[in-house]
Amino acid sequence: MHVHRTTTTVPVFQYINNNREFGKMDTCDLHLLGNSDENALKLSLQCAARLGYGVVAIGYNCPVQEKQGGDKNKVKLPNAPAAVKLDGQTKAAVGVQSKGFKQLSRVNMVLSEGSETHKLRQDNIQSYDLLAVQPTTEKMFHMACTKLEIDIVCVDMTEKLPFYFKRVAINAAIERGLYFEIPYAPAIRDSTMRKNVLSNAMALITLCRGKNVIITSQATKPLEIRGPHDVANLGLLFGLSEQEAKNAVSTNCRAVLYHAATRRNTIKSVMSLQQIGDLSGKDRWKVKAGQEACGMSIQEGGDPTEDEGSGVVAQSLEGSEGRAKTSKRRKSKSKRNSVDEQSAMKRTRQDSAGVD
Amino acid sequence: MSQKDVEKESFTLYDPLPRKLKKDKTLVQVPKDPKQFVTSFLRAAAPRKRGEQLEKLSSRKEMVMDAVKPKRRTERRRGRKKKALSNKQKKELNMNNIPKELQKYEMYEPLHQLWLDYMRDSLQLKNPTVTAENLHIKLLRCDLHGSIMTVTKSKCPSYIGQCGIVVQESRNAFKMITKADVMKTIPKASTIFTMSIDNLVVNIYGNHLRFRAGDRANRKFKVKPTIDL
Amino acid sequence: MVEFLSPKSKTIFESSAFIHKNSRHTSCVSDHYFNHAVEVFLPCCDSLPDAVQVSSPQRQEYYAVKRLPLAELTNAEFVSRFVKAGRLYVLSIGQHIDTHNVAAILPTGRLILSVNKDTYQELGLEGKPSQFEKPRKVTKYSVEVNLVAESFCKGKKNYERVQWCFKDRLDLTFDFLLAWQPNDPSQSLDDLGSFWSSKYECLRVEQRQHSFQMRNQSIPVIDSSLLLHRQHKSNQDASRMNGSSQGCEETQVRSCDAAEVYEWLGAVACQCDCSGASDSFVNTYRCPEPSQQVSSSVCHRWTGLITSERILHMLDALRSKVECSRMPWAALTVHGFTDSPVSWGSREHGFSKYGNNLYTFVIFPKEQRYWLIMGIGDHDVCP
Repeated sequence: MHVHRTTTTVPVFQYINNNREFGKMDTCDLHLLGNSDENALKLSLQCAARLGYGVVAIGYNCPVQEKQGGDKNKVKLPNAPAAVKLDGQTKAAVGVQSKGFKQLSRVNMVLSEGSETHKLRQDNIQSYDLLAVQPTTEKMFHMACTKLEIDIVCVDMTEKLPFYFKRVAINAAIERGLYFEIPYAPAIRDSTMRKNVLSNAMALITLCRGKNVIITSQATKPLEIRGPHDVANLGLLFGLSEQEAKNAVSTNCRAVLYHAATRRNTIKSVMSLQQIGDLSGKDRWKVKAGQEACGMSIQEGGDPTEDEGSGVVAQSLEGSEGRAKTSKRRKSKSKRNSVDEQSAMKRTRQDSAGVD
Repeated sequence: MSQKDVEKESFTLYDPLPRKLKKDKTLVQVPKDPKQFVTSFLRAAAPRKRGEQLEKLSSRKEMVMDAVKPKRRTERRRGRKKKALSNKQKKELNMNNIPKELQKYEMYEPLHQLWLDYMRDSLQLKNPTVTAENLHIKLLRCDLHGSIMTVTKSKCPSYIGQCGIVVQESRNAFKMITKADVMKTIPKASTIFTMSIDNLVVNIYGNHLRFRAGDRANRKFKVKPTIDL
Repeated sequence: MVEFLSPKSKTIFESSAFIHKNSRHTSCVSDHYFNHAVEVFLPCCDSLPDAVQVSSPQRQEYYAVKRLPLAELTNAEFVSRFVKAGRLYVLSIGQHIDTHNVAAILPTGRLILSVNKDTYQELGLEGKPSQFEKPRKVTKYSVEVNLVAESFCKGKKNYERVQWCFKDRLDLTFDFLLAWQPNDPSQSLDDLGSFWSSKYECLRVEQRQHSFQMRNQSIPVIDSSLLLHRQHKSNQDASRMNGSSQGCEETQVRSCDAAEVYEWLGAVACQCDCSGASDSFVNTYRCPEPSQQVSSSVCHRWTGLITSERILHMLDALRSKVECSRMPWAALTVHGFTDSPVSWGSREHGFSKYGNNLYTFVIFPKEQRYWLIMGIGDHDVCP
């Protein structure tokens, strides 16, 4: 035959690719430590944005409080995520996706006894986007996996665990859509920690067969953050397959976000409520027919600035009733799940979502 | 009559027959054998068809006359149920389907108004004392027939954007009539619907709402892991 | 124990002649629509020859339009004025194929939209799941719209549906690169620029070029008839060990292996030091043997959105140049966009670890022979 053709795999020098500096995915790092000082946090965020993360959650450790309820108010919904502004250079690097760079808040609860679980239901804890529990005893681990309404189970992997993972608990957690967290920044800091993280992570992954695992940074400074593809490669070390490792920084994190949304914003995961004023212009079509039948006209689409305007009008048309309702309901006991509060939360979340 | 006699008389269980009757021998003849008398009396008094049962009746020592009543009731119910059609028969008779000439959007617009009134009434959105929990429970249990729904998200792209008035709800699907006067059956599985009641927008995650409309009314909903499709 | 699998990327070697009737060189070039960089390596040259310079993509400009909604590209007016009246290349940039949405219009008039799961479930257009994913866990879908189909015009159901899906509802705005080759010579690229200039930010962009010369450098000696003989040799080694005695005469090797040449070309493109100094900290790589010393050679690179017609021109110019000069061979390397939704033709392209889709022509003066080396990644269909 004239055309000679073979197919082999050969090592080839990596050719220059000018059009992509970093391998980028809409990936999530669901744990940057937020209790460090603000400047370091800002730098870390910028670093994460530049590395190509789409979603970053800033974790706050819930202070271990003594029996007096006096310092209860210490933990409040931080407005830090909205306030952290990134410089122009970062935005340029992030490019079109700047609208997609999301910052979320997450709270970590260290729990050792079943009697402490009531804290999870407190309003200030519930106001966080993600809820993670770090159980320190086997009993608590089992409870976290099977009963608690949380999103992430994070075990302190940097130390030798006082208990073994049990398949029953882990299977229950997988069934319930909870995810296990493996941090990698501690493994960078210290060699003993590295050993522990590796052995614990591998033990966990053999038990959950590569499912329901997310890899996060737990970084306190920018130096400890790695790019998403690097992290996925690291996942291979923990015993994940290539696809699972990639899922651990992308698809699984998305699932965690959906789980959190289900927990926070829905009624028994069957329905969720919104106010018409909160719908963005893009979503107006969803209720167009219903509104027309009520005899209300609704503006669909248009420029984003215009939408905001029309949204305000719609809200003011709704009148003072709505506001009075809100204030009264705030006073009433059941303020946690009230409609208005939910929508208000959603609004702040949307606001905080933008980089700018 | 003395006072004592009166008292004594009023407390006896059976009054003696009036003297008038006692004298009239044609009316009451005290039989020598009461059993024989009863059978002969029954034979004479009861309708002919029951003749066979008479012996049973007379042989029994005790007869509870009231016990028949509840039995009769159940029988009647069963009878009525037999009259109603089974689901299969309904299907065969096309009773579940709305004939084509009746699939008109305009026809159902009043239904939607009715539904809106019903929702406003039951949710009491403008009443500030209604708590969120109450609202949520009412929403979960409300009837959705007559609501205007739009498919906003679905695994199957061609359902997206379908919109109409819900006319039937089954365990696994909504049937709605669109503005183009066509009836569409849209499965609940992996579909998200949106409807609005005045200023409230409700997103319904069809995956977790797969019950019949009646079942939903008194059902405990379990929290599911995710609303993802 | 952790096993690290080698990447599943493939390198395909072909050897043929331009004059052969079954030669695939034309289809290989013209089917590769979105070219990001073109690189020419000419040994025994002081500067880029004029004939090549003229045919280079240097003068071909293209447009960059910022934040353009997809609905504008499927607009009936745009389709009739540009898509149907020439070869239009449109590609979104700044988006990443593996997790974001990517859109492209092929010169054949097809709009290819690679969307992630979330977008697909709200979009409302039928698409195929990505073939690189497990059947029940698909996160990427590719939607195809034929813009030149007869049913795609105003008033038709298909058109209205597409417009409704792309318009306003989802945030389907991208930064686009557009290149256009009109069928009618009276029209020019400026028409494309002026079409939107009032509404969106349009930039006319020139190709960037970069050139460097290398002096006193050793280049591999290549015999066009020996493509992958080293591999055969090792096979023969193995067979010899098994007891057979044939193939012993292949001790005198007159040429480098294609794989070695390819690796060396890569090193040159990266401007690596190929002296092979043993004390070099960075690399100790050296030119494969046998090699020859050349006084001067030129490497020239253009980057931008380059149409495949331009590359065909250039290939022809290089062929004639190689034939009539004293060059032992010349190389032309073309890189595709890593985030383009297609590689060759309408074959799906993905980004698993690196979205490579590139090909290299090594052109020989003798009998118009050439080698074609294609590099494709893990998530790519073999062309």
